[in-house]
Amino acid sequence: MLEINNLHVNVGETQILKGLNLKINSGEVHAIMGPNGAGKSTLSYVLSGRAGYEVTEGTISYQGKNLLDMEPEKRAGEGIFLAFQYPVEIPGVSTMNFLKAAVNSVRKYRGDKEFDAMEFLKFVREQTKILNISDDMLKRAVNVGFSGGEKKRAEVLQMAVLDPILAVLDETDSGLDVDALRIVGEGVTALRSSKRSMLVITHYQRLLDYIIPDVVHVLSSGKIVDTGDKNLALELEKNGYEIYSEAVA
Amino acid sequence: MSLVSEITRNLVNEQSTMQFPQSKPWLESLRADGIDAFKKDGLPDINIEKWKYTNLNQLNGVTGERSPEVAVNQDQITWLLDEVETNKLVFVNGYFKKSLSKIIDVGQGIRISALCNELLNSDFINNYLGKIASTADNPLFALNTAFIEDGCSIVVENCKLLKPIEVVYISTGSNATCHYPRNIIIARNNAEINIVERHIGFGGEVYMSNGATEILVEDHSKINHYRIFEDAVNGINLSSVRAVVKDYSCYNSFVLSTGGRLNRCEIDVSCAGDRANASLSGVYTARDQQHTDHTTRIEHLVPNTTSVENYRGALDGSARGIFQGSIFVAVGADGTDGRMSNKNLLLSSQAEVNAKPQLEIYADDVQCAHGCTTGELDDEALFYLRSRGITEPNARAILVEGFLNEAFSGIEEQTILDVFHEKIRDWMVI
Repeated sequence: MLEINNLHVNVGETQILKGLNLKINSGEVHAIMGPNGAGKSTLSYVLSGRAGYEVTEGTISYQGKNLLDMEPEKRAGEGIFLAFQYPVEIPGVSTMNFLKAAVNSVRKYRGDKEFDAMEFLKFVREQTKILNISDDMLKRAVNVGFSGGEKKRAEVLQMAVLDPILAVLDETDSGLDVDALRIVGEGVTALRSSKRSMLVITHYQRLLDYIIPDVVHVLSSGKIVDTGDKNLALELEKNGYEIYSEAVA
Repeated sequence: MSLVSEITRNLVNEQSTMQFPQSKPWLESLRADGIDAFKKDGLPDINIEKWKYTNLNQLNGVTGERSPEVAVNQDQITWLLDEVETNKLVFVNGYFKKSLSKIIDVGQGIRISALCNELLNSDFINNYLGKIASTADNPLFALNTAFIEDGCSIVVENCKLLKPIEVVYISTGSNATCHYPRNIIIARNNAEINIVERHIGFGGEVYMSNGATEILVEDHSKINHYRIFEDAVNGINLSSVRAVVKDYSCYNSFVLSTGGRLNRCEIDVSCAGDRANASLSGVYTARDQQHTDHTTRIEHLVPNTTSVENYRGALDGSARGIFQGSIFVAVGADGTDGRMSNKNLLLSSQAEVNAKPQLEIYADDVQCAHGCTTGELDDEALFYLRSRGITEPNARAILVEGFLNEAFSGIEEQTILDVFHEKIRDWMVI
């Protein structure tokens, strides 16, 4: 489904990813953990096509296609979704209108009929119930004045309505209190399916209590340095990342 | 001779040969004031501070002759608020068109009519006309005053007329001519008026509309003044509003300007009574070679008055946008609260914005603030939308629209808010 080979990425003059390899099969949930500055967010941006991340070497194959050739909107159409660590505030644009524009763009790309206003409202309400998102929140401008928890719930709502094949969650647990973490964790878990793969990028193990990963990787200094099952995350929580930085050094 | 003075001379000659059909001594004297002031000062040039960024050389091609009366069919007019039973007034080249208009609310403190009827039938309007604005303050007001003949006259007392009054000004663009609609809007003694004005133009010829509006809001009254300028491609619309707000009253102005070759929209408000409040909101959009100029001045003349001003602009192509906002607080006007914000988006490397916020404060105990920004679309926001599958052009349109819509968050009437949003969207998709 996703195959990353020997990926090298520069941001400006600085090399961030230094030969990263990763393979995710359909329906698998992979977690990537690692210390600050390891390149976790860079990986998520490269996957979603953000400008300013220069791939100097290596390939990313997604469903047999060259992902690096695609514009961000095309990647979304093809089923890639990034839940942002810091969701962007967009004043003046209501969350509802934003969601509708996004869903209809993706439906159009995928050859589905676009929703009219009534159809969309019905469709979106099915999802908001699960995530405890009020109609009032949908009327407000995108992420403007949202609490940390509201922002992350809104990200999961976007993921739900865009129905991705590969969801990348970039530190979705950051800035969340215990209750918000549970709601978000359960929301994501509800979206697990055999047709959907997930890449959960996180600094801490706690999100993985809710989203149990099939595979856990450790990313350090731009490379995957260890891979294991969910128990690896528990060990990391206990021992920290120090052994990896020493190994690299 | 400079172009500006040549145009000035033509305009004056034209005026002096005019025969006014309705003659009254007070009206003759008012027009004479206008022509004297205009003869003295002429059209403003760029040496005048308020006109630094807008050169009326752009009037090149305007003949100075008066626009003719032209017939317009009902089907050439689309109403913005057609689902509501509202008062509707239509002016073509400055002349009232009775057959296209519909005045349904009369009596009980409501007096809505064409100014020409007021001038013809009584001296009532002499109480207000030319009393709110001074010809010495503004050369375009002086020019308009020289040509006073018709326009919109709305006087509401002791009555809340909540249904909006829709006024359409049509310029037919006939032979590079000029017209001078003169409007007067008065709300007194617990009155409320909602007016939706729309300025449209036909054809590709140059024309000049030099409208002037006098507004008085007094004694617990409120005017919501909504205006949309959608002039034709070569249209020149120079509009001046002079409003005086008195005790416990409120003037709310919402302006959207998208059309025309040159649009200057000047608003001058005095908060001249206890608890007077003025709120000015505006959006200007321009592309190609368009020039759009929004110049405002809010005076706080007595203690405890408030004002809020929020203008936003989006400029594309080689367009130029001007925002000049000034807040003046007079000696002794303590307790003034005045806030001004102006934000601009540049959508191309050739577009230009000149923004000049000004505070002039002569009282001690006041709160005044101004903020002004000019920038490009936020790359991060653009990427966020694109990462959700929205194509780049659509993402840009959504961001620009959202940015501009913010200026109209003060519109409480949903149908009117929808109209403004729709007009902004229309501009985006052209």
